[in-house]
Amino acid sequence: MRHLLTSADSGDSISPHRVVEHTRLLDILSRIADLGPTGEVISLFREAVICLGAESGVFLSCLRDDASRTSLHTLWACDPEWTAAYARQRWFESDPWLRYASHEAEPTRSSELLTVSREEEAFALAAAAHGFASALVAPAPSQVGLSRVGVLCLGSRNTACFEGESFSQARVLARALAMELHHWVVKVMRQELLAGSGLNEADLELLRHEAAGHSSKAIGAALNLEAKTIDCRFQRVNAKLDAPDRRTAARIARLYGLL
Amino acid sequence: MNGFELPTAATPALATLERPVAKRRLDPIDEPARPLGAKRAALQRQRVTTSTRPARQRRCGTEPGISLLTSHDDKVTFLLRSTTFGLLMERTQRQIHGVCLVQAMVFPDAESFDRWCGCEPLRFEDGLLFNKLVREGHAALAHIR
Repeated sequence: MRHLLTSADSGDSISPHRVVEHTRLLDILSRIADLGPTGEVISLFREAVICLGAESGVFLSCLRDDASRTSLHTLWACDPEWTAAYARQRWFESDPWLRYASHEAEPTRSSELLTVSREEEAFALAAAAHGFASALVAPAPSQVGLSRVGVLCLGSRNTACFEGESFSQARVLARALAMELHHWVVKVMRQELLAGSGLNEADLELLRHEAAGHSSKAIGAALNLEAKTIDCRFQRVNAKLDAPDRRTAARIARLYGLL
Repeated sequence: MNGFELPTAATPALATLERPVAKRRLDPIDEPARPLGAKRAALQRQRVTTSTRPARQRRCGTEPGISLLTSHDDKVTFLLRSTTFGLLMERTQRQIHGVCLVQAMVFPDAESFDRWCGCEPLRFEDGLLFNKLVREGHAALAHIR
């Protein structure tokens, strides 16, 4: 199969194959946000990875709910052994791709990504052995900064896959794919939180007041209720969101886009 | 002198400063969350360790076409679902503190599923669950074919 961004295609004329792959990739990008089932998204993700000239792809979405809880939702279109190794070795604790995405917004290549510890060096070696000898790392930043970060990593066993002129085109398309996947993951997480927690509109109204910085007394006055009643309601909301206090509950609601 | 008049600027409306209602401190959303105090952190730890399964797990257990397998210590959960694209698996690895890792992957065939099974750490930690996982995975893949 001929890929969209191989070095052989770097001439001025656009080959018909390339146009077909390009059109297919744009079609995939436009469909991801509206998809529901995870299986279909991973299937399209796998197809997009191939369209981009890569062989492997991983998307990670990191959400820092509160001080003691971080969720890492990931989509895998690569060697299954790498998926298992990532969990077994707890690579998420020393993942240079995730570290890079937490501080930078520009896509980069693994050849330009500096490792800062022995663990990260070991990660790079292990990733290279599982289809990421050459990698393109595309961060997907969000409006909530460090609290929610996404990163797409495209990999190839060919060490020159993302070198040369092809990188300038691949980075644009990879960034678009990263943003679409991140948007989809956040949407699904929001739906799961709403379904799992059982929050209702009255709970969200309370959380909106909390996010605006209103005290129980002020909220009680607005809702024609006693301040103690407001406190009791917040206790139930905290329990639904598994939050230690109402400030954290409001933070979680904002992070998941509920407010 | 000409007959032009100097333009007159409309008097800007005075900004009315309402009495601030936001008395409570707000956490900046774009920064890491503040750490909990010792007492509150201990209480939260106690709540987490004694809490029952999340609502999502209870719900999925009864849905047709979905298998939910949980390790004996409740730390690892597998959700299996047959799809037209292959076997969808969501592996969730929870910790009381630290990262909760959710991995979603699709196995198009039995070969890729077996490759993953060969590296899954749970095969040593919870053999019974692992055997059940392999059986149900193969059954789902056979159903897809």
